[in-house]
Amino acid sequence: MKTMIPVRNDREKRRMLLATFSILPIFLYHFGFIIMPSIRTMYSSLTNWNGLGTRDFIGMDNYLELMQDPNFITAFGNNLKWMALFLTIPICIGIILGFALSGVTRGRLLFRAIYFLPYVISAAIAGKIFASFFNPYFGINVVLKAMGMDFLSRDWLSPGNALFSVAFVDMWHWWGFLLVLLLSALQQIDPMLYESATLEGAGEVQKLWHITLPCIKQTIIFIILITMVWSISTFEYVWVMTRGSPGSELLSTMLYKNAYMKYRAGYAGSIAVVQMFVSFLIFAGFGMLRKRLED
Amino acid sequence: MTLRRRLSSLTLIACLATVAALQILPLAAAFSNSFRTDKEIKKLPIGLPTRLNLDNYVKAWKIGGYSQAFANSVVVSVSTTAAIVACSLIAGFFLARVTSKFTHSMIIYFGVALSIPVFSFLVPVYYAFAELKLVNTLIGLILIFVATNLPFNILLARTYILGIPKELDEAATIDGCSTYQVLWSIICPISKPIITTIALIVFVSTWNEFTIANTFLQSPELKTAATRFVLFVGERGSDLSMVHTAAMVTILPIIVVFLLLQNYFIEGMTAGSIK
Repeated sequence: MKTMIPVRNDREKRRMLLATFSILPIFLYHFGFIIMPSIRTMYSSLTNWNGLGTRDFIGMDNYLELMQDPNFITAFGNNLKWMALFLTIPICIGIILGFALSGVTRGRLLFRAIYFLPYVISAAIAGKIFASFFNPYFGINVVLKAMGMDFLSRDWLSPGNALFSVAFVDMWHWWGFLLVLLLSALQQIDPMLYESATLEGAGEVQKLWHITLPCIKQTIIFIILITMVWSISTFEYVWVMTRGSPGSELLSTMLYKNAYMKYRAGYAGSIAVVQMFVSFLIFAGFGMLRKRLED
Repeated sequence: MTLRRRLSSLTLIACLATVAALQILPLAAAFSNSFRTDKEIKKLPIGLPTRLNLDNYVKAWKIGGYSQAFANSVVVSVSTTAAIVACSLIAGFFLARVTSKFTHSMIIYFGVALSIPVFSFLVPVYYAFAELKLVNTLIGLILIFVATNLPFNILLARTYILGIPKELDEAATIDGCSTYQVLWSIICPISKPIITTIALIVFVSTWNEFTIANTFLQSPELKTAATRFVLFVGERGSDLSMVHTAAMVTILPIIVVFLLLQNYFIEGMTAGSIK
Protein backbone atom coordinates (compact mmCIF):
# COMPACT_ATOMS: atom_id res chain seq x y z
CA MET A 1 0.00 0.00 0.00
CA LYS A 2 2.69 2.43 1.05
CA THR A 3 4.50 2.15 -2.23
CA MET A 4 1.27 2.69 -4.18
CA ILE A 5 0.68 6.20 -2.91
CA PRO A 6 3.80 7.88 -4.33
CA VAL A 7 3.23 6.22 -7.71
CA ARG A 8 -0.33 7.51 -7.81
CA ASN A 9 0.75 11.00 -6.82
CA ASP A 10 3.42 10.88 -9.44
CA ARG A 11 0.91 9.99 -12.11
CA GLU A 12 -1.51 12.65 -10.89
CA LYS A 13 1.27 15.21 -11.03
CA ARG A 14 2.17 14.19 -14.56
CA ARG A 15 -1.45 14.52 -15.59
CA MET A 16 -1.69 17.97 -14.03
CA LEU A 17 1.44 19.02 -15.84
CA LEU A 18 0.12 17.66 -19.13
CA ALA A 19 -3.19 19.48 -18.55
CA THR A 20 -1.39 22.73 -17.86
CA PHE A 21 0.79 22.46 -20.95
CA SER A 22 -2.17 21.51 -23.13
CA ILE A 23 -4.45 24.34 -21.98
CA LEU A 24 -1.78 27.01 -21.62
CA PRO A 25 -1.33 27.72 -25.37
CA ILE A 26 -5.11 28.01 -25.82
CA PHE A 27 -5.34 30.33 -22.84
CA LEU A 28 -2.42 32.46 -24.04
CA TYR A 29 -3.94 32.69 -27.52
CA HIS A 30 -7.24 33.92 -26.11
CA PHE A 31 -5.48 36.24 -23.66
CA GLY A 32 -3.39 37.73 -26.45
CA PHE A 33 -6.30 38.34 -28.78
CA ILE A 34 -8.98 39.40 -26.30
CA ILE A 35 -7.62 40.44 -22.90
CA MET A 36 -4.43 42.26 -23.92
CA PRO A 37 -6.27 44.43 -26.46
CA SER A 38 -8.98 45.12 -23.85
CA ILE A 39 -6.30 46.41 -21.50
CA ARG A 40 -4.93 48.45 -24.37
CA THR A 41 -8.39 49.92 -24.91
CA MET A 42 -8.43 51.05 -21.29
CA TYR A 43 -5.04 52.69 -21.70
CA SER A 44 -5.87 54.28 -25.04
CA SER A 45 -8.97 55.86 -23.50
CA LEU A 46 -6.54 58.06 -21.59
CA THR A 47 -4.82 59.21 -24.79
CA ASN A 48 -5.63 61.14 -27.95
CA TRP A 49 -4.74 58.12 -30.13
CA ASN A 50 -6.08 58.28 -33.69
CA GLY A 51 -5.49 54.59 -34.36
CA LEU A 52 -2.20 54.93 -36.17
CA GLY A 53 0.85 56.90 -35.18
CA THR A 54 1.74 58.22 -31.78
CA ARG A 55 -0.49 58.91 -28.85
CA ASP A 56 -0.22 61.49 -26.09
CA PHE A 57 -1.39 60.87 -22.58
CA ILE A 58 -4.25 63.27 -21.86
CA GLY A 59 -5.56 61.88 -18.58
CA MET A 60 -9.31 61.98 -18.10
CA ASP A 61 -9.96 64.44 -20.96
CA ASN A 62 -11.87 61.87 -23.07
CA TYR A 63 -14.13 61.05 -20.17
CA LEU A 64 -14.74 64.71 -19.38
CA GLU A 65 -15.64 65.30 -23.02
CA LEU A 66 -17.91 62.26 -22.98
CA MET A 67 -19.85 63.58 -19.99
CA GLN A 68 -20.61 66.78 -21.91
CA ASP A 69 -21.22 65.15 -25.30
CA PRO A 70 -24.99 65.39 -25.97
CA ASN A 71 -24.60 62.51 -28.42
CA PHE A 72 -23.27 60.30 -25.65
CA ILE A 73 -26.13 61.21 -23.31
CA THR A 74 -28.67 60.38 -26.06
CA ALA A 75 -26.89 57.14 -26.95
CA PHE A 76 -26.73 56.01 -23.34
CA GLY A 77 -30.41 56.83 -22.91
CA ASN A 78 -31.22 54.79 -26.02
CA ASN A 79 -29.29 51.83 -24.61
CA LEU A 80 -31.38 52.08 -21.45
CA LYS A 81 -34.60 52.21 -23.49
CA TRP A 82 -33.34 49.20 -25.41
CA MET A 83 -32.70 47.38 -22.15
CA ALA A 84 -36.20 48.21 -20.86
CA LEU A 85 -37.76 46.85 -24.06
CA PHE A 86 -35.71 43.66 -24.00
CA LEU A 87 -36.30 43.05 -20.29
CA THR A 88 -40.04 42.99 -20.87
CA ILE A 89 -41.34 42.06 -24.33
CA PRO A 90 -39.18 39.11 -25.45
CA ILE A 91 -39.01 37.62 -21.95
CA CYS A 92 -42.81 37.77 -21.59
CA ILE A 93 -43.36 36.23 -25.02
CA GLY A 94 -40.77 33.56 -24.22
CA ILE A 95 -42.39 32.66 -20.90
CA ILE A 96 -45.97 32.60 -22.25
CA LEU A 97 -45.08 30.52 -25.30
CA GLY A 98 -42.78 28.33 -23.24
CA PHE A 99 -45.71 27.46 -20.99
CA ALA A 100 -48.04 26.97 -23.94
CA LEU A 101 -45.56 24.80 -25.79
CA SER A 102 -44.71 22.61 -22.80
CA GLY A 103 -48.39 21.59 -22.75
CA VAL A 104 -48.24 20.38 -26.34
CA THR A 105 -46.74 17.08 -27.36
CA ARG A 106 -47.58 16.75 -31.03
CA GLY A 107 -45.75 19.26 -33.17
CA ARG A 108 -43.71 20.69 -30.33
CA LEU A 109 -40.42 20.23 -32.16
CA LEU A 110 -41.81 21.82 -35.31
CA PHE A 111 -43.05 24.91 -33.43
CA ARG A 112 -39.78 25.14 -31.57
CA ALA A 113 -37.84 25.01 -34.83
CA ILE A 114 -39.95 27.76 -36.43
CA TYR A 115 -39.75 30.05 -33.40
CA PHE A 116 -36.02 29.52 -33.19
CA LEU A 117 -35.30 29.85 -36.91
CA PRO A 118 -34.71 33.65 -36.93
CA TYR A 119 -31.94 33.13 -34.38
CA VAL A 120 -29.78 31.39 -37.00
CA ILE A 121 -30.32 34.08 -39.64
CA SER A 122 -27.50 36.60 -39.96
CA ALA A 123 -28.30 40.06 -38.60
CA ALA A 124 -26.88 41.44 -41.83
CA ILE A 125 -29.53 39.69 -43.92
CA ALA A 126 -32.50 39.90 -41.54
CA GLY A 127 -31.74 43.59 -40.96
CA LYS A 128 -31.72 44.37 -44.67
CA ILE A 129 -34.87 42.34 -45.40
CA PHE A 130 -36.74 44.21 -42.67
CA ALA A 131 -35.26 47.52 -43.78
CA SER A 132 -36.82 46.96 -47.19
CA PHE A 133 -40.18 46.24 -45.54
CA PHE A 134 -39.77 49.42 -43.48
CA ASN A 135 -39.34 51.48 -46.64
CA PRO A 136 -42.05 54.15 -46.37
CA TYR A 137 -43.06 53.90 -50.07
CA PHE A 138 -42.64 50.22 -51.01
CA GLY A 139 -42.85 48.43 -47.69
CA ILE A 140 -45.54 47.32 -45.29
CA ASN A 141 -47.17 50.74 -45.58
CA VAL A 142 -48.44 49.54 -48.97
CA VAL A 143 -49.87 46.41 -47.37
CA LEU A 144 -51.49 48.45 -44.59
CA LYS A 145 -53.08 50.72 -47.17
CA ALA A 146 -54.41 47.75 -49.12
CA MET A 147 -55.92 46.42 -45.91
CA GLY A 148 -57.53 49.78 -45.16
CA MET A 149 -55.33 50.35 -42.12
CA ASP A 150 -53.69 53.50 -43.42
CA PHE A 151 -53.68 55.10 -39.99
CA LEU A 152 -51.00 52.60 -38.90
CA SER A 153 -48.55 53.48 -41.65
CA ARG A 154 -45.61 55.71 -40.85
CA ASP A 155 -41.97 56.31 -41.68
CA TRP A 156 -40.64 53.35 -39.71
CA LEU A 157 -36.98 54.29 -39.74
CA SER A 158 -37.42 58.02 -39.12
CA PRO A 159 -35.75 59.46 -35.99
CA GLY A 160 -38.90 59.11 -33.91
CA ASN A 161 -39.50 55.45 -34.79
CA ALA A 162 -36.10 54.02 -35.71
CA LEU A 163 -35.09 52.74 -32.28
CA PHE A 164 -38.33 50.83 -31.81
CA SER A 165 -38.38 49.47 -35.36
CA VAL A 166 -34.85 48.14 -35.03
CA ALA A 167 -35.56 46.76 -31.56
CA PHE A 168 -38.63 45.03 -33.00
CA VAL A 169 -36.47 43.22 -35.56
CA ASP A 170 -33.86 42.28 -32.99
CA MET A 171 -36.61 40.92 -30.73
CA TRP A 172 -38.04 38.93 -33.63
CA HIS A 173 -34.66 37.20 -33.84
CA TRP A 174 -34.09 36.97 -30.07
CA TRP A 175 -37.20 35.67 -28.33
CA GLY A 176 -37.04 32.21 -29.91
CA PHE A 177 -33.71 31.70 -28.19
CA LEU A 178 -35.23 32.66 -24.83
CA LEU A 179 -38.15 30.32 -25.51
CA VAL A 180 -35.78 27.44 -26.12
CA LEU A 181 -33.96 28.11 -22.84
CA LEU A 182 -37.23 28.36 -20.88
CA LEU A 183 -38.76 25.34 -22.55
CA SER A 184 -35.78 23.18 -21.66
CA ALA A 185 -35.98 24.41 -18.05
CA LEU A 186 -39.70 23.64 -17.90
CA GLN A 187 -39.16 20.15 -19.30
CA GLN A 188 -36.58 19.37 -16.65
CA ILE A 189 -39.11 19.74 -13.85
CA ASP A 190 -39.90 16.35 -12.35
CA PRO A 191 -43.56 15.49 -13.18
CA MET A 192 -43.71 13.68 -9.83
CA LEU A 193 -43.66 17.07 -8.10
CA TYR A 194 -46.91 18.04 -9.82
CA GLU A 195 -48.50 14.68 -9.14
CA SER A 196 -47.80 14.74 -5.44
CA ALA A 197 -48.96 18.37 -5.26
CA THR A 198 -52.23 17.38 -6.93
CA LEU A 199 -52.65 14.52 -4.44
CA GLU A 200 -52.19 17.00 -1.62
CA GLY A 201 -54.90 19.14 -3.14
CA ALA A 202 -52.85 22.02 -4.58
CA GLY A 203 -54.56 24.20 -7.22
CA GLU A 204 -53.02 25.27 -10.54
CA VAL A 205 -51.96 28.67 -9.18
CA GLN A 206 -50.32 27.09 -6.17
CA LYS A 207 -48.47 24.65 -8.39
CA LEU A 208 -47.26 27.49 -10.60
CA TRP A 209 -46.10 29.50 -7.60
CA HIS A 210 -44.52 26.72 -5.54
CA ILE A 211 -43.18 24.34 -8.17
CA THR A 212 -42.85 25.90 -11.62
CA LEU A 213 -41.45 29.32 -10.73
CA PRO A 214 -38.81 28.09 -8.25
CA CYS A 215 -37.67 25.50 -10.80
CA ILE A 216 -37.19 28.01 -13.64
CA LYS A 217 -35.93 30.84 -11.42
CA GLN A 218 -32.28 30.20 -12.29
CA THR A 219 -33.04 30.34 -16.00
CA ILE A 220 -34.98 33.58 -15.66
CA ILE A 221 -32.20 35.20 -13.63
CA PHE A 222 -29.70 34.09 -16.27
CA ILE A 223 -31.87 35.55 -19.04
CA ILE A 224 -32.22 38.87 -17.21
CA LEU A 225 -28.45 38.98 -16.70
CA ILE A 226 -27.52 38.37 -20.35
CA THR A 227 -30.27 40.73 -21.50
CA MET A 228 -28.90 43.57 -19.39
CA VAL A 229 -25.29 42.98 -20.36
CA TRP A 230 -26.01 42.61 -24.08
CA SER A 231 -28.27 45.67 -24.10
CA ILE A 232 -25.27 47.81 -23.21
CA SER A 233 -23.20 46.66 -26.17
CA THR A 234 -25.81 45.79 -28.82
CA PHE A 235 -24.68 46.75 -32.32
CA GLU A 236 -25.37 44.59 -35.37
CA TYR A 237 -29.04 45.19 -36.09
CA VAL A 238 -28.78 48.93 -35.51
CA TRP A 239 -25.71 49.27 -37.67
CA VAL A 240 -27.15 47.21 -40.50
CA MET A 241 -30.51 48.98 -40.49
CA THR A 242 -29.79 52.62 -39.64
CA ARG A 243 -26.06 52.98 -38.97
CA GLY A 244 -27.09 54.68 -35.75
CA SER A 245 -28.98 57.49 -37.44
CA PRO A 246 -30.41 60.25 -35.26
CA GLY A 247 -32.92 58.60 -33.00
CA SER A 248 -31.21 55.22 -32.97
CA GLU A 249 -27.69 56.14 -31.92
CA LEU A 250 -26.34 53.65 -29.39
CA LEU A 251 -23.06 53.50 -27.47
CA SER A 252 -21.68 50.92 -29.91
CA THR A 253 -22.61 52.84 -33.07
CA MET A 254 -21.12 56.00 -31.61
CA LEU A 255 -18.00 54.06 -30.69
CA TYR A 256 -17.73 52.54 -34.17
CA LYS A 257 -18.00 55.92 -35.89
CA ASN A 258 -15.32 57.40 -33.65
CA ALA A 259 -12.96 54.46 -34.07
CA TYR A 260 -13.18 53.96 -37.83
CA MET A 261 -14.66 57.08 -39.39
CA LYS A 262 -13.57 59.99 -37.25
CA TYR A 263 -10.19 58.44 -36.39
CA ARG A 264 -10.62 59.08 -32.68
CA ALA A 265 -9.64 55.65 -31.34
CA GLY A 266 -8.85 57.10 -27.92
CA TYR A 267 -12.28 58.65 -27.58
CA ALA A 268 -13.87 55.42 -28.86
CA GLY A 269 -11.87 53.60 -26.21
CA SER A 270 -13.45 55.68 -23.49
CA ILE A 271 -16.91 54.60 -24.71
CA ALA A 272 -15.77 50.96 -24.68
CA VAL A 273 -14.56 51.42 -21.12
CA VAL A 274 -17.95 52.82 -20.12
CA GLN A 275 -19.55 49.69 -21.63
CA MET A 276 -17.14 47.41 -19.79
CA PHE A 277 -17.71 49.30 -16.55
CA VAL A 278 -21.50 49.10 -16.79
CA SER A 279 -21.31 45.38 -17.66
CA PHE A 280 -19.06 44.86 -14.66
CA LEU A 281 -21.52 46.69 -12.42
CA ILE A 282 -24.35 44.47 -13.68
CA PHE A 283 -22.35 41.32 -13.00
CA ALA A 284 -21.32 42.56 -9.57
CA GLY A 285 -24.92 43.44 -8.76
CA PHE A 286 -26.10 39.97 -9.76
CA GLY A 287 -23.28 38.38 -7.80
CA MET A 288 -24.31 40.27 -4.67
CA LEU A 289 -27.96 39.45 -5.28
CA ARG A 290 -27.17 35.75 -5.62
CA LYS A 291 -25.14 35.79 -2.42
CA ARG A 292 -27.97 37.43 -0.57
CA LEU A 293 -30.49 34.92 -1.96
CA GLU A 294 -28.31 31.99 -0.91
CA ASP A 295 -27.75 33.27 2.65
CA MET B 1 -64.91 16.93 -20.30
CA THR B 2 -62.80 15.31 -23.00
CA LEU B 3 -64.53 17.39 -25.65
CA ARG B 4 -63.77 20.55 -23.71
CA ARG B 5 -60.18 19.50 -23.27
CA ARG B 6 -59.85 18.72 -26.94
CA LEU B 7 -61.33 22.09 -27.83
CA SER B 8 -58.95 23.96 -25.55
CA SER B 9 -55.98 22.07 -26.92
CA LEU B 10 -57.16 22.91 -30.45
CA THR B 11 -57.33 26.59 -29.50
CA LEU B 12 -53.84 26.33 -28.08
CA ILE B 13 -52.52 24.76 -31.28
CA ALA B 14 -54.25 27.47 -33.32
CA CYS B 15 -52.59 30.21 -31.24
CA LEU B 16 -49.17 28.57 -31.52
CA ALA B 17 -49.63 28.17 -35.27
CA THR B 18 -50.59 31.84 -35.65
CA VAL B 19 -47.44 32.93 -33.83
CA ALA B 20 -45.41 30.56 -36.00
CA ALA B 21 -46.96 32.02 -39.15
CA LEU B 22 -46.19 35.59 -38.06
CA GLN B 23 -42.65 34.61 -37.09
CA ILE B 24 -41.96 33.02 -40.46
CA LEU B 25 -43.83 35.63 -42.53
CA PRO B 26 -40.92 38.03 -43.21
CA LEU B 27 -38.69 35.21 -44.42
CA ALA B 28 -41.47 33.57 -46.41
CA ALA B 29 -42.28 36.91 -48.04
CA ALA B 30 -38.65 37.47 -48.94
CA PHE B 31 -38.47 33.93 -50.34
CA SER B 32 -41.59 34.52 -52.40
CA ASN B 33 -40.21 37.86 -53.58
CA SER B 34 -37.10 36.14 -54.86
CA PHE B 35 -39.31 34.84 -57.71
CA ARG B 36 -41.00 38.18 -58.42
CA THR B 37 -39.90 41.29 -60.27
CA ASP B 38 -38.89 44.57 -58.71
CA LYS B 39 -42.06 46.16 -60.07
CA GLU B 40 -44.32 43.53 -58.54
CA ILE B 41 -42.60 43.82 -55.16
CA LYS B 42 -42.89 47.59 -55.10
CA LYS B 43 -46.57 47.35 -55.93
CA LEU B 44 -47.19 44.89 -53.11
CA PRO B 45 -44.22 43.78 -50.95
CA ILE B 46 -45.94 40.64 -49.69
CA GLY B 47 -47.37 38.41 -52.39
CA LEU B 48 -47.12 35.17 -54.26
CA PRO B 49 -45.02 34.87 -57.41
CA THR B 50 -46.81 34.61 -60.75
CA ARG B 51 -44.17 32.34 -62.24
CA LEU B 52 -41.44 30.10 -60.88
CA ASN B 53 -38.03 30.35 -62.44
CA LEU B 54 -34.51 30.84 -61.22
CA ASP B 55 -33.73 33.94 -63.32
CA ASN B 56 -33.38 36.12 -60.24
CA TYR B 57 -31.06 33.61 -58.63
CA VAL B 58 -28.80 33.34 -61.64
CA LYS B 59 -28.62 37.13 -61.89
CA ALA B 60 -28.06 37.73 -58.15
CA TRP B 61 -25.43 35.00 -57.98
CA LYS B 62 -23.52 36.59 -60.83
CA ILE B 63 -23.70 40.30 -60.07
CA GLY B 64 -23.43 39.68 -56.35
CA GLY B 65 -20.12 37.90 -56.85
CA TYR B 66 -21.40 35.01 -54.82
CA SER B 67 -19.04 32.31 -56.13
CA GLN B 68 -16.21 34.24 -54.58
CA ALA B 69 -18.14 35.26 -51.46
CA PHE B 70 -19.20 31.67 -50.78
CA ALA B 71 -15.64 30.44 -51.28
CA ASN B 72 -14.42 33.04 -48.75
CA SER B 73 -17.15 32.12 -46.28
CA VAL B 74 -16.38 28.42 -46.61
CA VAL B 75 -12.65 28.97 -46.08
CA VAL B 76 -13.25 31.15 -43.01
CA SER B 77 -16.00 29.03 -41.45
CA VAL B 78 -14.39 25.64 -42.08
CA SER B 79 -10.96 26.70 -40.79
CA THR B 80 -12.43 28.32 -37.69
CA THR B 81 -14.66 25.32 -37.05
CA ALA B 82 -11.77 22.84 -37.36
CA ALA B 83 -9.59 24.85 -34.99
CA ILE B 84 -12.37 25.31 -32.45
CA VAL B 85 -13.39 21.64 -32.45
CA ALA B 86 -9.78 20.59 -31.81
CA CYS B 87 -9.10 23.22 -29.13
CA SER B 88 -12.38 22.78 -27.30
CA LEU B 89 -12.02 18.99 -27.15
CA ILE B 90 -8.49 19.22 -25.77
CA ALA B 91 -9.23 22.00 -23.29
CA GLY B 92 -12.68 20.62 -22.42
CA PHE B 93 -11.18 17.17 -21.76
CA PHE B 94 -8.50 18.40 -19.38
CA LEU B 95 -10.84 20.84 -17.66
CA ALA B 96 -13.30 18.01 -17.05
CA ARG B 97 -10.80 15.36 -15.98
CA VAL B 98 -8.01 17.11 -14.12
CA THR B 99 -8.65 19.01 -10.93
CA SER B 100 -5.94 21.48 -10.05
CA LYS B 101 -5.64 25.13 -9.16
CA PHE B 102 -4.77 25.87 -12.76
CA THR B 103 -7.73 24.07 -14.34
CA HIS B 104 -10.05 25.60 -11.75
CA SER B 105 -8.90 29.13 -12.57
CA MET B 106 -9.16 28.37 -16.30
CA ILE B 107 -12.82 27.37 -15.91
CA ILE B 108 -13.48 30.71 -14.21
CA TYR B 109 -11.41 32.55 -16.81
CA PHE B 110 -13.34 31.16 -19.79
CA GLY B 111 -16.61 31.75 -17.95
CA VAL B 112 -15.79 35.41 -17.46
CA ALA B 113 -14.46 35.68 -21.02
CA LEU B 114 -17.91 34.72 -22.34
CA SER B 115 -19.26 38.13 -21.51
CA ILE B 116 -16.54 40.43 -22.83
CA PRO B 117 -18.18 42.82 -25.30
CA VAL B 118 -16.71 42.80 -28.80
CA PHE B 119 -15.75 46.46 -28.77
CA SER B 120 -13.55 46.16 -25.70
CA PHE B 121 -10.88 44.53 -27.87
CA LEU B 122 -11.85 45.16 -31.49
CA VAL B 123 -10.26 48.56 -32.08
CA PRO B 124 -6.76 47.76 -30.76
CA VAL B 125 -6.78 44.40 -32.57
CA TYR B 126 -7.74 46.18 -35.77
CA TYR B 127 -4.93 48.71 -35.60
CA ALA B 128 -2.41 46.06 -34.50
CA PHE B 129 -3.49 43.94 -37.49
CA ALA B 130 -3.15 46.99 -39.73
CA GLU B 131 0.51 47.24 -38.73
CA LEU B 132 1.02 43.51 -39.23
CA LYS B 133 -0.68 43.69 -42.67
CA LEU B 134 -3.37 41.28 -41.47
CA VAL B 135 -6.31 43.59 -42.14
CA ASN B 136 -8.06 42.61 -45.34
CA THR B 137 -6.84 39.01 -45.22
CA LEU B 138 -8.91 35.90 -44.57
CA ILE B 139 -6.26 34.54 -42.22
CA GLY B 140 -6.58 37.65 -40.04
CA LEU B 141 -10.32 37.14 -39.74
CA ILE B 142 -9.87 33.44 -38.94
CA LEU B 143 -7.38 34.31 -36.17
CA ILE B 144 -9.92 36.56 -34.43
CA PHE B 145 -12.86 34.22 -34.96
CA VAL B 146 -10.92 31.41 -33.30
CA ALA B 147 -10.28 33.62 -30.28
CA THR B 148 -13.87 34.84 -29.93
CA ASN B 149 -15.38 31.34 -30.30
CA LEU B 150 -13.08 29.57 -27.82
CA PRO B 151 -14.66 30.18 -24.38
CA PHE B 152 -18.23 29.11 -25.10
CA ASN B 153 -17.27 25.94 -26.93
CA ILE B 154 -14.56 24.91 -24.47
CA LEU B 155 -17.10 25.08 -21.65
CA LEU B 156 -19.67 23.28 -23.79
CA ALA B 157 -17.23 20.42 -24.47
CA ARG B 158 -16.24 20.28 -20.80
CA THR B 159 -19.86 19.97 -19.66
CA TYR B 160 -20.38 17.09 -22.07
CA ILE B 161 -17.19 15.25 -21.14
CA LEU B 162 -18.07 15.57 -17.44
CA GLY B 163 -21.03 13.33 -18.25
CA ILE B 164 -18.84 10.54 -19.66
CA PRO B 165 -18.03 7.98 -16.92
CA LYS B 166 -14.45 8.32 -15.66
CA GLU B 167 -14.17 4.53 -15.43
CA LEU B 168 -13.81 4.37 -19.21
CA ASP B 169 -10.68 6.53 -19.06
CA GLU B 170 -9.28 4.52 -16.18
CA ALA B 171 -9.84 1.21 -17.92
CA ALA B 172 -8.04 2.51 -21.00
CA THR B 173 -5.19 3.84 -18.88
CA ILE B 174 -4.75 0.44 -17.24
CA ASP B 175 -4.63 -1.05 -20.73
CA GLY B 176 -1.66 1.21 -21.37
CA CYS B 177 -3.19 4.18 -23.20
CA SER B 178 -1.54 7.55 -22.76
CA THR B 179 -3.73 10.51 -21.83
CA TYR B 180 -3.92 11.76 -25.40
CA GLN B 181 -4.71 8.24 -26.62
CA VAL B 182 -7.60 8.17 -24.15
CA LEU B 183 -8.82 11.48 -25.55
CA TRP B 184 -8.50 10.29 -29.14
CA SER B 185 -9.79 6.72 -28.93
CA ILE B 186 -12.22 6.85 -25.98
CA ILE B 187 -13.52 10.41 -25.55
CA CYS B 188 -13.71 11.49 -29.20
CA PRO B 189 -15.96 8.66 -30.45
CA ILE B 190 -18.36 9.11 -27.51
CA SER B 191 -18.34 12.89 -27.98
CA LYS B 192 -19.59 12.76 -31.57
CA PRO B 193 -22.88 14.52 -30.69
CA ILE B 194 -21.14 17.42 -28.99
CA ILE B 195 -18.58 17.64 -31.80
CA THR B 196 -21.48 17.97 -34.24
CA THR B 197 -23.06 20.63 -32.04
CA ILE B 198 -19.87 22.64 -31.68
CA ALA B 199 -19.11 22.40 -35.39
CA LEU B 200 -22.63 23.55 -36.20
CA ILE B 201 -22.63 26.48 -33.76
CA VAL B 202 -19.24 27.72 -34.91
CA PHE B 203 -19.96 27.24 -38.60
CA VAL B 204 -23.29 29.07 -38.43
CA SER B 205 -22.07 31.91 -36.22
CA THR B 206 -18.99 32.59 -38.35
CA TRP B 207 -21.04 32.35 -41.55
CA ASN B 208 -23.45 34.93 -40.14
CA GLU B 209 -21.00 37.20 -38.36
CA PHE B 210 -21.17 40.78 -39.49
CA THR B 211 -19.37 43.23 -37.18
CA ILE B 212 -15.87 41.76 -37.21
CA ALA B 213 -15.97 40.50 -40.79
CA ASN B 214 -17.22 43.82 -42.09
CA THR B 215 -14.53 45.72 -40.21
CA PHE B 216 -11.57 43.54 -41.11
CA LEU B 217 -12.38 42.73 -44.75
CA GLN B 218 -12.75 45.75 -46.96
CA SER B 219 -12.13 44.75 -50.55
CA PRO B 220 -15.23 43.22 -52.17
CA GLU B 221 -13.44 40.15 -53.49
CA LEU B 222 -12.44 39.13 -49.94
CA LYS B 223 -15.80 39.64 -48.27
CA THR B 224 -17.77 36.77 -46.76
CA ALA B 225 -21.29 36.03 -48.03
CA ALA B 226 -23.07 38.01 -45.29
CA THR B 227 -20.88 41.11 -45.59
CA ARG B 228 -20.81 40.90 -49.38
CA PHE B 229 -24.60 40.96 -49.23
CA VAL B 230 -24.59 44.22 -47.26
CA LEU B 231 -22.24 45.74 -49.84
CA PHE B 232 -24.53 44.47 -52.61
CA VAL B 233 -27.56 46.10 -50.98
CA GLY B 234 -25.61 49.33 -50.69
CA GLU B 235 -24.94 49.29 -54.43
CA ARG B 236 -28.15 47.77 -55.77
CA GLY B 237 -30.61 48.38 -52.97
CA SER B 238 -33.12 50.00 -55.31
CA ASP B 239 -33.84 46.68 -57.06
CA LEU B 240 -35.86 44.88 -54.40
CA SER B 241 -36.07 41.61 -56.32
CA MET B 242 -32.27 41.49 -56.26
CA VAL B 243 -32.14 42.38 -52.55
CA HIS B 244 -34.53 39.61 -51.58
CA THR B 245 -32.99 37.04 -53.92
CA ALA B 246 -29.46 37.79 -52.71
CA ALA B 247 -30.72 37.52 -49.13
CA MET B 248 -32.12 34.08 -49.88
CA VAL B 249 -28.89 32.98 -51.56
CA THR B 250 -26.99 33.95 -48.42
CA ILE B 251 -29.27 32.32 -45.86
CA LEU B 252 -30.61 29.24 -47.65
CA PRO B 253 -27.52 27.09 -46.88
CA ILE B 254 -27.84 27.98 -43.20
CA ILE B 255 -31.59 27.30 -43.15
CA VAL B 256 -31.10 23.89 -44.78
CA VAL B 257 -28.32 22.96 -42.34
CA PHE B 258 -30.42 24.17 -39.41
CA LEU B 259 -33.54 22.26 -40.42
CA LEU B 260 -31.54 19.06 -40.91
CA LEU B 261 -29.63 19.30 -37.64
CA GLN B 262 -31.77 21.57 -35.47
CA ASN B 263 -31.74 19.26 -32.48
CA TYR B 264 -27.95 19.33 -32.18
CA PHE B 265 -28.05 23.09 -32.50
CA ILE B 266 -30.81 23.85 -30.01
CA GLU B 267 -29.66 21.32 -27.39
CA GLY B 268 -26.16 22.74 -27.62
CA MET B 269 -27.28 26.32 -27.26
CA THR B 270 -29.32 25.52 -24.16
CA ALA B 271 -26.69 23.29 -22.56
CA GLY B 272 -23.94 25.82 -23.17
CA SER B 273 -25.90 28.82 -22.02
CA ILE B 274 -27.42 27.55 -18.80
CA LYS B 275 -24.43 25.79 -17.31
